Amino acid sequence: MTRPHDTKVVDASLTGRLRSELGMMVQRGIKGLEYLSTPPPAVGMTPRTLVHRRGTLCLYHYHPTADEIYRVPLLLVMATTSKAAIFDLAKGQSLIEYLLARGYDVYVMDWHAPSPEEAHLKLEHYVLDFIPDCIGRVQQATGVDDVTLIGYCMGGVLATLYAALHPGGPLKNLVCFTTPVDWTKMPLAKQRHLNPERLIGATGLVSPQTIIRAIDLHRPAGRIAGKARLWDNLWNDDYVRGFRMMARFSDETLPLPGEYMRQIHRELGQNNSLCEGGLRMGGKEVDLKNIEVSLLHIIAQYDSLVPPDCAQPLVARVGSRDKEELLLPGGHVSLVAGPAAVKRMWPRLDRWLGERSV
Amino acid sequence: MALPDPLKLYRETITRFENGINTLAARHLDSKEVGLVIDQYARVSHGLQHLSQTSLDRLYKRMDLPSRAEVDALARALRRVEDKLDQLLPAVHSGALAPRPPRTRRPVVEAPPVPVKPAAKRKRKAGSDDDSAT
Repeated sequence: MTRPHDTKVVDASLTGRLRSELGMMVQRGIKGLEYLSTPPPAVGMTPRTLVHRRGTLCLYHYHPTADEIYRVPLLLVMATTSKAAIFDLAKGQSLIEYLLARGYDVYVMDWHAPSPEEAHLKLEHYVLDFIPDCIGRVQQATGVDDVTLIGYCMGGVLATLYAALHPGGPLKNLVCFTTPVDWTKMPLAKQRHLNPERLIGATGLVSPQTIIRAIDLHRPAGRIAGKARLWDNLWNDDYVRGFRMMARFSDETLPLPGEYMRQIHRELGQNNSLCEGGLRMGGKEVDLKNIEVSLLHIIAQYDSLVPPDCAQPLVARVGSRDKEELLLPGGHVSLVAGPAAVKRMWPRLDRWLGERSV
Repeated sequence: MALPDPLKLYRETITRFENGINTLAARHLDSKEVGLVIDQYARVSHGLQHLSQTSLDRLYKRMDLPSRAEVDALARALRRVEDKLDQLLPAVHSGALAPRPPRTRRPVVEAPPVPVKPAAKRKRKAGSDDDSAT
């Protein structure tokens, strides 16, 4: 839909302008009522099968749509605070739908809200239990030993930790999207006067509201400005649809196990041990030099949550010979989802993966 | 004289406001003051949550209704039963529902652009078609 002001046939006279503004105001009123009276658009609609479920963990297989697929399957690991719906927003805006159409066999590790009984879960549970379990199931289902692991944000940290602790395979490729490595460059992790115990509720979990507020602290005016822009663009169906999908994704933030948060705060935040070394898991030291598989790290240039200098040390520190870093314009979410991602990131990802998935 | 556009001014103001606040926040996010404010806020917020939770629990008890915690516990128990059933039932292979195309796909190799040679001057043949075209 074109904004009346954007058309070339703009009536520059006062009457014309008034007519145009009045038209938009009426549209805003009508669409505003529609906004309030209709549910947000459905996300995650690409056909899939639940392969495995265990507590907070869910493993899904998305139905291939190409006549011929690549040999190596993809396993996407979502950040533990979010649903994997960000990979599958809507038709034409779904990374998963795109990958399927480009001939990949796609599996996704998604999360349910952890229960208070799972408040004890630590990084070890995710890295040494959940990921190997899912990789084993993907190998069994596909009959292929090699797997490509793709992690987004903290999902990227989990995938990186797994890759560093399993240098003998079965990983073939590792892809990270905006993954924090040098936590001294992460704005909130630099905060030394915050007691993490205050963020953990009576259930032993960090509530979604606390996580949303912590994320909002990086861009405190973002929410208000977003609402103001929504009002301005209420006449534009595409804008409203995109806004509601993103709002829904944010509203579906999941709680975090308290122990997981304590460990991240202490090990990654305070000690910066992923970058500087000293992190031990399952009796082994995590050394990024042990990662020798092909690596692609895609970083968002305007990411306020994981700034580029926080993510960049990954490629520099791994032992891989075949490694690439892509710095693309965009923010933390717009890197993977939305119209900019469709044009910028997805084709680059496909080109990189295609050559390494045979 | 060009007429001022109030909505353009509104948009510019929003952008300025957003950038200003966000830059200010980014500069002070690691300060002691912000840390203490978050700490205090979290303490008060958890206190209020606890207070409202216990009040609601009392109200539900008086109305003979299950509390949120009880419903959540029930949902978790149901999920555990479903998980156990999933483990007991023969594994439904994802291939049973999804199509299983062959894993033979190869990336499309983009042919390198053929260097264009400067066109050689064509010799004109007597009675050629070109002639007839002129």
